[in-house]
Formats: sequence, structure tokens, C-alpha cells
Amino acid sequence: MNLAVVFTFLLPLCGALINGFLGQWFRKDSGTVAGTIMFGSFMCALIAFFQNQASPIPSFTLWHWFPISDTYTADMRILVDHLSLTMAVMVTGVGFLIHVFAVGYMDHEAAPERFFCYLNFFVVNMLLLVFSDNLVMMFVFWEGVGLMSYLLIGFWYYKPEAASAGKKAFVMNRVGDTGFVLAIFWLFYYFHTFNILEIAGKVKELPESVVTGITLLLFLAVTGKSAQLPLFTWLPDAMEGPTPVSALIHAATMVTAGIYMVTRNHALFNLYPNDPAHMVILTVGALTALVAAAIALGQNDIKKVLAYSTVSQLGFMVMALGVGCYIQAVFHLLTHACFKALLFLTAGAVIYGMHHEQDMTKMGGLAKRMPMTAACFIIGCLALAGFPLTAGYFSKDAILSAVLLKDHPYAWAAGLLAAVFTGFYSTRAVWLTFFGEWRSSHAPDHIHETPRVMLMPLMILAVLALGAGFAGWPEGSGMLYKYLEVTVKQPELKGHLSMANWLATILPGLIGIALGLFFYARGKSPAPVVALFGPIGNWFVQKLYLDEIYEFLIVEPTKIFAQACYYIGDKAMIDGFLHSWYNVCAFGGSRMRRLHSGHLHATLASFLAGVVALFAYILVRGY
Amino acid sequence: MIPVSHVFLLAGVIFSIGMLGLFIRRNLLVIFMSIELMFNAANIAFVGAGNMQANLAVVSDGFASVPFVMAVAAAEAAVGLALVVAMYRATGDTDVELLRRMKG
Repeated sequence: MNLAVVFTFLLPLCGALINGFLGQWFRKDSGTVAGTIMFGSFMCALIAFFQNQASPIPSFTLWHWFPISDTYTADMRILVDHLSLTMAVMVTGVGFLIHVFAVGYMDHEAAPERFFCYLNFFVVNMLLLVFSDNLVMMFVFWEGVGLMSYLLIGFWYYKPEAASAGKKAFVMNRVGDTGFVLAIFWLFYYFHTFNILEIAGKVKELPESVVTGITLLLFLAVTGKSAQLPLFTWLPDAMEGPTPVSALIHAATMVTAGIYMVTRNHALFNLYPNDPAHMVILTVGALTALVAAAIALGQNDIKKVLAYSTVSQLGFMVMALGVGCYIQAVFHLLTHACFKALLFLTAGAVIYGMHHEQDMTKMGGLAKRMPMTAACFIIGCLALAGFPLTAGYFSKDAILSAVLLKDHPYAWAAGLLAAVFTGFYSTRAVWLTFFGEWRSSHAPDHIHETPRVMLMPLMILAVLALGAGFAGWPEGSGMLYKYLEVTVKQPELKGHLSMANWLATILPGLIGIALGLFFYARGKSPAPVVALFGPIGNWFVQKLYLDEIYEFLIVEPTKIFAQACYYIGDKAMIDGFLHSWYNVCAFGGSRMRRLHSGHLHATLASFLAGVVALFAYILVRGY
Repeated sequence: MIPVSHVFLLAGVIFSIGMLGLFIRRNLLVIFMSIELMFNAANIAFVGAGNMQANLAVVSDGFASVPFVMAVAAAEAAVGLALVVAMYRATGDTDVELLRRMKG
């Protein structure tokens, strides 16, 4: 048992318990407690990370959980390897910074200890999900992060939108999790084990059709948790939660659990790289990247833009999974965690400064009043748009060139178009928020630079958003590749991109930025998207009517089915049976009641008649 | 020696008087006394039967039953008289027709 690893997830657990049970006695300081504990956890993760580089840390069992068959017991077992430690460092590091930010962001909250208890507990669940040695344990914590996501989206539960957004996230994730459970059962049927490494060792025994089925079921879980088509609509709604939650759970960590899960099970996915499942994964990823980026063009809510851009970036990661380039996916996951956490936190700082105004059309010119925040946001947007030499540039470029090298030109083209959109909506968000004229009806006098406790994490994340890309440079042989290759075995990419293709991969982001500047930086009042794109723009604004389509195709039929069940099953059958039985009893009772007149002599007479009848019967029948 | 049939006849007559009283009287106290009369008619029948068994020189169950009936009658008298008193207090009368109302 490695103490550094244990304390990585034990410390946040202690923090959650302390804040949960004792937090009400030190409300104002609960954030400091949670943040300090996260710092300890981050340090432990770093220590474990470097220990592992010196000499590999063995996996260890926490306790035996439950026996399943004579030969296999599901254990609470911690799998320590390069992949899980990389994720752990990211989760605790970004988590720590977001905790620090949240101390400032939640300072007006009446009961912040509840928030920090959930937040710490989320980190515990996420870490144990990452460290899971077997699929059942992974599923438990997969559900655990889902639960914490539900609780944190609905943190302001008295707002009906927040409560229903939490419900939506939970229910849509259930759809995906069905796939996860079925895949686990299917694997157990063949191997009689849940252990990921054991399954990876034996996986060659499986026929191709079974592998395709299992990987598709696992991918269904990914579409739920990592917000892919068709299950992504919960993620934009999840923005009802406090902004640090959006940054930590719905951008940096939880939604990437699907990417991690596939990477963790890469032996299964590697087996038949040309089967239909990979086509499905690639197509879904490319479509999600494109569709979500298109929707992000039309959003005015600053958090909604970022939410759709998260979906879009997750689509890029899934594309990488679809062509079997897991390290590229994890690379983008890590850089995305840095720059998207940065973007969400700066958005949170803006929202905090604007007293909970999220509509970008009511902002403008904020760069003069909060220059540091603006600088951080611009850095985040550059990384998001893939501006050369920022973090997003390296990782997105790695994915797009991998897709092209694996000979999927259509997916590559969709990715390029999505990258153009990304550049455009990033620029639009920057310009609407920080430049141009002040557009709100309120006077901007009260808006000041972000408090220092919130600014420090922003600056650290900004440095990461600029520099983290160099971990994966040069492509295919950078530090991160060397490190992860020990754990993640993926087929080597053959060939090199031609200069034209390489240019085609880096240009879209720049084109998007240029277009954004062209349309938004010129005029004093920004043109609405509808004006730029015509009727298609309206589709973007209306989120491609996906919510309405789901409402019509799934929610309404379900409601009709429920009504039918209510009228036929409940009303007609159950109530009908009960009511008719009641009528029989009531009718019998109303007749029998007349016997009970209350006349003593009538009662006696019937008693006597009964006795006489009894005697007569005995006399006639004999003894 | 009185014949057994005479004893049973006496018991039958007393029982019938008691039952008649039970049926035709409306005064709760009299009804109560009629019930006592029926108890005692049964007791007389027990004694007659016991006497018959004694003549046959076997152990007599009839005599043994009599004290039980007396004990039950005594207990019943205690409860019954208490009910009569309670009814009189509640209604100021002992007419059973008044008991049709099921409230105090």
C-alpha cells in the first residue's frame, strides 16, 4: 500500500466528512478547509507521480469487497499506473485551483459548507474512478461522480431550473449507464472476472462480433457521461450549477471520465480497429464536435457558449478514440482541462463581477475594468481556438492529423469545420464580453477587478493553458507520449502529413479567429448571429431544436404511455377492481344493516328461532 | 322419592316462565330476573340428573356442575346489575326500548 496514493483520495474524503458533519460550526472557513485539504491531496498525487517515475508503484487492495464466484472476488483495489496517476495529478491539481477560486466565488453563500462537502466528495469519487482496478468498482464511482454532479447542478435547489437540470443530467446519464452495466455483464460472462488488466490479457479469445457489441455498449456509456450525440443535451443545462462546478465537473474532470474509461479499456478497443464500432465512435465524435460548435455560435449566455464548446472538444477526443489514438485523446483531455477550467473560471469571475449577469449581449468593454480577467479569458480562448503554440493547438493538431493519417478524410474535414467554428465563437465571446461598448442598462461603475483569491488560480491556469501543450511536443514522441506509452499500447501512426495538410490542420483556428474579428471587432453594436448566417443562424440559436425533438420523440410519447398506464392500469383495472368490490360490500352492508334494528326482543326472537332451528336439525338428523 | 321426570318437568316450567318473561317484559330489571330464573331452572335440571346418576351408583357430574352455574350466575348478576344501574343513570328509565339509540 502506497501512502501517497492512499492520501491522495483519503484527504478529500476527510475534507468532505469534516465539512459535511462539522462545517456548520465554521461556515466562513469551510472553503479554506476544503482548499487546504485539496492542496494536500494534490501534493500527494505529485509525490506518487514522481515516485512512480523512479520505480513503479504496485497496485494494492484496500479491502475485499464481495465474492462473486469461487474464483473471483470483487475487490476495492487501487490500480496505480502511468495513466491513472496522470489523471490523478490533473484531477487534484485542477480541483485544487478550482477550490481556491470557489472560496472567493461562494463567499456570499449562506451555507458554503454543503457546497465544499459535495465538491470534496466529488474529487474522492473521481479519483477512485480513475484508480479503479475492476469494472464494478469503476461503475460504482462512475455513478458516484454522477450523483455529485446531480447534487451540485441542483445546489441552488430552490431554483426550479437548477432542480430540473439536475434531474435531466441524472436521467440522461442513466440511459448511457445501461450500456455500461450490460457491457460489464457481457465481459463477465466470457471471462468470469471484472479485473480490467485480466480482461485485457484474455481479450483475444473474443470473437469480433462480441467485441463490437461490448465496445458499442461501453461507448453508449461514454455518450452519456462525456456528453456526445445523442445524449449531450444535459450538459448545457448543467450550467445552472455554480460556475466552479461547471469548471470542475462539467468541463475538466467528470465529463472526461468516458474518455478515460475507453482509454483504460483500450485493449478491448484495440482488438478490431476496423470494426463498425470504431466507425460509430468516429462518426459520433466528428458530428458532436461539429454540431456542438455550430450551436455554440448562436448562444448569448457566456456559460452556454463554454458548455457547447466543451461538448465540441469532447467530440474531438472521441474522434481520437475512434481512430485508436488514445494518448492523443488523453493529451487533449489534459490540455482541455487546463484551458476550459480557465475559461469557466474567468467566466465565473465575470459573472461574479456582474452580479450574476450571464448574458453577453448585456456586457461589453469589460477589459477596461477587469484587465487581468480579460487577459486570462483571452488566453483561454486562444488555447481553445488552437492558436499556434498554445496548449489547445498541440493537442487538437495531434488529433486532427491522427484522424487524417488513419485515412478518415470526412471526419477530418468535419473536425476542421468545427475548428473554424471554435475560433469564431471564441472570438465572439471575447469581443462581446470584454470589448466594444457597455450594453447593459445598469451603470458599469460597480464593476471592479476580480478579487485576488479568485485571480491567482486564473493566472496559474493561464500559464498552463499556454504551456501545457509542450508536454506533448513533438507529436508522437513528446514527454507525455513517452510516459503514457508504458500503460497505453496503441498502434503507431504511419507516415507524415504533407505540408499542405499540416497547414490545413492549423489554419482553421486562425481563419475562425479572423472571421470572428472581421464580424465583431468592426461595428460598435455586435450583429446577432442570425444576421450573419441567415435562417441557418436561427437553427444555431435554437440549439438545432434538439431539445424540442427529444421532447416530441421521447418525452411526449412517454407521457402518453404514462397516461395510458394511469387510465388503463390504475384507473380501470386496479381502482375498478377495488371499487366494484367496495360496491358489493356496501350493498351487502346496507341490506344487512336492517337486521340490527336495536329492538332487544327482535334480537331475542331471532336468537330463539336459531336455537329452535338447531334443535330441529339435530332431531331430524339424529345425533 | 321424587321421580326424575317430575324434576325435569319443574325445571322446564321454570325455564319457560323465565323465557316468557324475557320475551314479553320491557323492564330491564325484570328481564334480568327472568334470566336468573332460567339459570336456576338449569340448576334444578342438573340436580335431577345428578340424582339419577347417584341412583345408578356412579360418580355424579350433575351435582358438581351446580356450584359452577351458581358462580357464573353470581358474576353475571354483578355485571348485569351494574349495567342496569348505569342505564338508569343515563336515561332515568329501565325500558329496553330506549336502548335502540346507540348513544349515551
